[in-house]
Amino acid sequence: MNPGKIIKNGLLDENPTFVQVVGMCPVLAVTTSATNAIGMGLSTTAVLVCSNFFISLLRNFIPSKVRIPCYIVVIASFVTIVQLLLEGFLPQLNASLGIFIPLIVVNCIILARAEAFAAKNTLAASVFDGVGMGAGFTAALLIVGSVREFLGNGSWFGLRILDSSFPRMTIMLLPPGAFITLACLMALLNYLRGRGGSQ
Amino acid sequence: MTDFKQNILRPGLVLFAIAAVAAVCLGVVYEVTKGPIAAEQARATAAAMAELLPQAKDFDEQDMPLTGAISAVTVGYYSEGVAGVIVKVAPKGFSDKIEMLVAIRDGAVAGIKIVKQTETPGLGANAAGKEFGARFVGKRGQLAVTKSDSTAENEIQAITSATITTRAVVDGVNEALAFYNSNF
Repeated sequence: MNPGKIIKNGLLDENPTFVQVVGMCPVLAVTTSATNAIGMGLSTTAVLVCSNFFISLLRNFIPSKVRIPCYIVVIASFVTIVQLLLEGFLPQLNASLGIFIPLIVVNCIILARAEAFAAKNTLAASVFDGVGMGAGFTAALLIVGSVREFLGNGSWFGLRILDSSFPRMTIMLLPPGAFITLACLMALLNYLRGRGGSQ
Repeated sequence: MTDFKQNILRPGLVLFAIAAVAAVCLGVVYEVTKGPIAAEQARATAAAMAELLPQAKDFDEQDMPLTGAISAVTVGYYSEGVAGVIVKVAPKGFSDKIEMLVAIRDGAVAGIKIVKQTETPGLGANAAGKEFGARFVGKRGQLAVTKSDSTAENEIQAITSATITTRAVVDGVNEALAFYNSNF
């Protein structure tokens, strides 16, 4: 096992957003600002690391015939527990991240990593995979969110960058803006990868 | 018989065991967090009421018949009498009910505060911001949603790409105003 390689895999080679193109619903919905993107990215990473941990722990115990229902029960219960604990004991954190948690339950990255990685790998490797994939997801959200917030609202992390006399591209804040940004970024990434001669 | 054990009994029992453990964990966590969550919500509601009617010293929840989406009515008092009425109303938003407090003084909106919502982050969720709430201050009567700049006295400008959320909040405010006008 090579932690560096697993993390790089999640960040670049198999980036969940730009390469695997999974979990697009939150990518489109929450990337209207850099702040939202970071919040969603970090919450997802936390859930991903823990769900990979639990699935890997139980991988020899769960028969393959019923693995998907088992994963769903484990992940959904875990996320609900986190949500209740946040609401009860960390109201400050809940106020800023709480709205993303229901979106994480339906994020297919979590189930995809459980099935594709955690079910077949050791505990430590699965945790690193969660960190890598989460970091890749967070980075992708942050890039898309920064572009959209800058072009659509003239700001970054809520800080005004462009004077209000500059025209705003409101379409960048709407769902089409997410598709346009994603398409441009994916094209750029594919161009860079192709040039490196990896293909 | 081994087939039955391997293919049906074991998967079924494992799934049952996992679901049972998950259910117990959820139940325990729910019981443990129930108190703190309720306390936190009560604290948040009290803070929101104090913010909406800053001059009010005492709040008294009214025991009166409630209608529609209205779930609580609280009167705020200060030294010279009634400072305002706060109506808790939960209109149906884009994804779920939007719980909000509408403060009314002399038939006009003194302020609104959204206390719980699950609207789309970045779009409808912006309704909880101060800027949107300020659009309601001083409005009275029956309010309407407009997509351009609000010109008429009773118009509220919609949040860009969150018309359904805006409409829900306006409906809630209208319901609170109507309730106020027929009861106070």
